[in-house]
Amino acid sequence: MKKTSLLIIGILSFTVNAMSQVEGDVRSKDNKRIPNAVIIALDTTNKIIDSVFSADDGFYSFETLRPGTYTIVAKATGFENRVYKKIIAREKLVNKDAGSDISNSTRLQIVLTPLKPPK
Amino acid sequence: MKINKSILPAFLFILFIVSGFLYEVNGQVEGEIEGRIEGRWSGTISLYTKYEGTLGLNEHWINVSIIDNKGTGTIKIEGENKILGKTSCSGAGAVELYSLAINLLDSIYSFSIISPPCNSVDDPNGNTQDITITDHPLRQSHNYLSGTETTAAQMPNGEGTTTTTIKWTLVRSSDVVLIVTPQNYDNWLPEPGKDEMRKGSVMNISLKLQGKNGKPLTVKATSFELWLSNTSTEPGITINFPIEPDNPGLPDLRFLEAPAMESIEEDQYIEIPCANGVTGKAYIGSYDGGGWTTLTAIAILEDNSRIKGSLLVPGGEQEIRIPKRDLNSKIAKAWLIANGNPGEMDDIDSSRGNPNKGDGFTAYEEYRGVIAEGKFKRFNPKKKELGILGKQTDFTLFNEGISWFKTSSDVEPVKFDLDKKEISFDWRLNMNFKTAHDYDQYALFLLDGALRGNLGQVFSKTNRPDIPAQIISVVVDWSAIQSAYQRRVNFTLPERLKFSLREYLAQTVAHELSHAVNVWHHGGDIKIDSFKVIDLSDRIFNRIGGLITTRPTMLYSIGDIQNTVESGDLKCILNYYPYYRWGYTRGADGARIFNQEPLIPLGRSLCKSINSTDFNATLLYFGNAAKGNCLGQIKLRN
Repeated sequence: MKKTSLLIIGILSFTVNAMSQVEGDVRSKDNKRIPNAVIIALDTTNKIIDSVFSADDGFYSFETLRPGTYTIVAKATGFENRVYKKIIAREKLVNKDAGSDISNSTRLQIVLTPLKPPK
Repeated sequence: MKINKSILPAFLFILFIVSGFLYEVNGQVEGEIEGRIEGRWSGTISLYTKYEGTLGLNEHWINVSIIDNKGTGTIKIEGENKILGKTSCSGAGAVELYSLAINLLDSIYSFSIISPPCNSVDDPNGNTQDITITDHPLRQSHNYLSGTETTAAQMPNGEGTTTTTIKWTLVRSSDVVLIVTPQNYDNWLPEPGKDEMRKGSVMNISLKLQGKNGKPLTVKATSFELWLSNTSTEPGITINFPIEPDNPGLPDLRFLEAPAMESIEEDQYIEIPCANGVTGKAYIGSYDGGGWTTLTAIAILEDNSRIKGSLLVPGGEQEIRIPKRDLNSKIAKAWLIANGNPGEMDDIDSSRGNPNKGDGFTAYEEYRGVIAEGKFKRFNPKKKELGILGKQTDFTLFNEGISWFKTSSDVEPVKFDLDKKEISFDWRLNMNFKTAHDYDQYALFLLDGALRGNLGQVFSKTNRPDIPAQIISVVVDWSAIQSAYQRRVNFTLPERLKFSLREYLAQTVAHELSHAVNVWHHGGDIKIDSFKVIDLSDRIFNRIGGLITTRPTMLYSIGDIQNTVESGDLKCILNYYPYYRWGYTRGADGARIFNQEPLIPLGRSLCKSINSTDFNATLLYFGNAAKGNCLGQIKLRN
């Protein structure tokens, strides 16, 4: 009985700790990297789960999302908002043998369109 | 005239003997067909007549076989007459079709043929007998007459019944033949246009009526009719394009009104007027890289008869497979021959030094081809192809690296344009298929993107090097590479690196692409210590082997003695050189020895073993690889 309880606790703890990562960079249509863009992750009920800023090179990363399906919204000054739906964040797997340049994070490159100047 | 009763039976019997004239008389009554024969005919005709009655039994057998209206036949008559006793005659010899006329208006025909004479001992110059069929309905074509007629007749005064059955099969031997010449038939291949509604290659079909055996034409054609049957309807125009076909049900090969025109419907039938009575032209447009069909051509002649066309020569095939291919094959013979005759479902492509066969495409899919960077391209069934999806701006940056990957792996990269939507949104490459599909193959999405701490990174569903189907994207951070290169230049001064920034980028691209086809690193990222405090017994050598006497207090980035990411063959793209700065070993006295990593060019091949090369082979650096033979690890499908 004791052993069973421990096993259950072990599974729960694993489930609770499962993390995933969504990362990428934010670019303009002409391929320029956009810093300071706000990237928001919403769950399937449209509840905001997390938000991050893109770095100077456009890189952004959500590092503590739970595995699941998200809507990612990107906003940046001078650009139209962009929405990416059904982005799947996989549970982060650990594989030391694979090397640091292998990852199962979700990679989402966000491309923004400049706002049209007012007529 | 009064006939003596005693001679009446004999009279009737003689009448029956000559009853064959009844048919002749019928023929003569239909004077319109007398002696006139439309065309040349071959076939067989048989007659069986039986009399049974008060006078006894009498039977006739006639069998005739003709070729081009003439032939040979046999006749036999046997009787058992109550007055005359047994009678018989027989004969064999030449026969000739006497008349044959077809009335198209009423869809009937009539013919008559004369048998050989039936001779007996008593009458060595016996009579011939005619077989005549009158106004029989045309049931099939005008060129094929076949039927059976049975008639029963009562003899006068209830003397008996005569039953006659005639069977015949006659085929018109035409004096003309229609020759169908598909231009460049041996080598023509179907090619798609730019989209579903624009044709690619066009096959020109020449039609020519000609006399048989070099004889002059005796009849002219008024028109030609052509059909395409069993035409393929593969979705899209190639295995990848368009990603959402608009007209997946349209035939892949279709008739064109003119070579410059397009077909917008099924267009599997076309009628072509024949102005000069002899020749005609037709055009088949290709709307798919792997289309196939069967062509049938008919010439309609002035006499309303129809001649089926033959491929290239008289007697040639009448069901003409386009493109030229074997029966039941979908692939053009010319392509098969040029590519080692693979089976339609084969996926056995190979690459140098690699045991894993196949690239995920069947031979038919390789033949059907792809639209890549706006152009049609067939794959090579002997060579592994790998689809790489990206933006043209990124390709400009990565072309050299893709080329390094190609040369080292012996895998042929095929680039697909992301902005032209040449690959579906899940990167599936061979998504347009109806037949001859075996495996869902994926392209690799290669892009320049920001990374944290890496110059390149493969995003894999399995978090390990894997086959393309498991790869989400391959990201190379050009900005990070430039920064990293500059740092290395600064660190190496006053010496100079043995590779350029361009090569650094190229190797990074080739390295990450290799991971995306299942190739692992040579080993783990095993460092002794990144910040090593040097004690007095340590000996430190510079990269040319000179003892460094001005001892630093710390050494950075010291790799372990073997099985690290920098171990094994230093010429291999998967080797992490330059990553560590120092190699480490122990001297005979147990002292720690640190050797500064030499400057060498970047590896640009894929290794074939775990064996170390160059400075790794000296025991002063990183030794053999934990995992080698990168070339042998390449795998494109399960």
